[in-house]
Amino acid sequence: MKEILEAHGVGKSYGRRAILHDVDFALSAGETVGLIGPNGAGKTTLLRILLGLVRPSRGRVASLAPDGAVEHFGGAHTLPPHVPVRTWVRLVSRGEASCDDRRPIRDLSRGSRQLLGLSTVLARSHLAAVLLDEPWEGLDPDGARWLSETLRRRKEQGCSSLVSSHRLHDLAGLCERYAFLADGRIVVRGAGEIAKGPVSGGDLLRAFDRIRVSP
Amino acid sequence: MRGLSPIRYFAVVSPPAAPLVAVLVILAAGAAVLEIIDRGSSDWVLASIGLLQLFACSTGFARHATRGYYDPLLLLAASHRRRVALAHFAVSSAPGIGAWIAAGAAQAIAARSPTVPAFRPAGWAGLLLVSAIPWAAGIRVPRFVAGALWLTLTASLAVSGKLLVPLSLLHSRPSWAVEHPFRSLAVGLAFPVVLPSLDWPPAVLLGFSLVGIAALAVGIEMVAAAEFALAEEDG
Repeated sequence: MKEILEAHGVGKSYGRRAILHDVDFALSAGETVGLIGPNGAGKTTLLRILLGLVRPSRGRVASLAPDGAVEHFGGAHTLPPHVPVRTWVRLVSRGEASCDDRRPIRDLSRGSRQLLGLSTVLARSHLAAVLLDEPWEGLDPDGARWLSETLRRRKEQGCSSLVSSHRLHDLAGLCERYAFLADGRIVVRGAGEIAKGPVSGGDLLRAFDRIRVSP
Repeated sequence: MRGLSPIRYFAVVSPPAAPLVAVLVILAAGAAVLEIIDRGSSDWVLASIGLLQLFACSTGFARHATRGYYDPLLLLAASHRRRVALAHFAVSSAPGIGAWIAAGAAQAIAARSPTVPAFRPAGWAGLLLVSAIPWAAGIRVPRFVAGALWLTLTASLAVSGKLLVPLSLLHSRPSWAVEHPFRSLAVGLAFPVVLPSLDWPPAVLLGFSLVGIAALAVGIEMVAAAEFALAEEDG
């Protein structure tokens, strides 16, 4: 399968604090991968390294996607609060989505800001990959269902997804592979290695516990 | 970055501070009124625009980049980062440049000559310095800090007397700049708002221009090489 994003031997340190050690990872065309790990494990750092926003201290990252075909949403706090919703939607979706809400983004509730960021990014056609950091955070049940269905639909259209989340029950069943990040190291397991049938949140938790005991 | 104009993006996400833009508009309009009333009486307006430009260009690129506000522009756009940086500089400096040109146009119309201080080489060099240096110096620091630091340095030099003596020499004896090109360069860099109102030898003017271009180039490379970890990133 053609790979969209690759990381080879990636390490990242801030001063003496090592965040990632020797991470090898690839996101293939059309697959959905869940990124799981405790707070501070380096999930956000890994996503930003893959996106080229943060430089690895060691190793290399390659993107085989056409320029502009990889999108990212890092959470509601990464939206500029003073920009009107309507302007933001038009700007980031490159005119592929529209909205009449003239309020500044700061006037929206947290869940609405999260939904705004996600819907703007996922509205774009011709996406090769989308990298989402805690996308279910702050969403109500309808929003969470919309996100899961949208990710499935984008997958059917050939879009790859790398989704970092603590909400294991939302991730479960959505992904072909799961990347567990603990103590800066990554272990990737296929859904078939985690459970015989459909993967549940409990299966992911047990798999993560096993990996932490014997990496 | 396909289909995403960096200039439009920065104009929306990090627009120049509204109070600064308002004062620059008032200054440009004031220059026109002064020139109508008394030709040649608006030279101080250029110095005021230059002072404001020190702050207008101290926008602090990292301030918004580390909050993730620029993520859509910076995604995998390593090859486009220089264009992104240049667009940020253009948006930051546009109000001051606009006010400068408007004030210069008022002077030129009143004088019926294009060789007014704003449009002479010294004027353009001064505008480049007050735009490029604070922008480049401010990439990693909070908004307005680079301009405030430069002004503090200038005030310190003025209070210590190291600036006023050479400035008076430059005013009273233009040949002093030819005799002391490096000191002239240092005086101009310490207090660039005086550039349009003085006569400078071509070599010193070239020095000012090179410093301005070098500052801009350094700033662009800083943005191109920078990494933007989120400020509140928890790993």
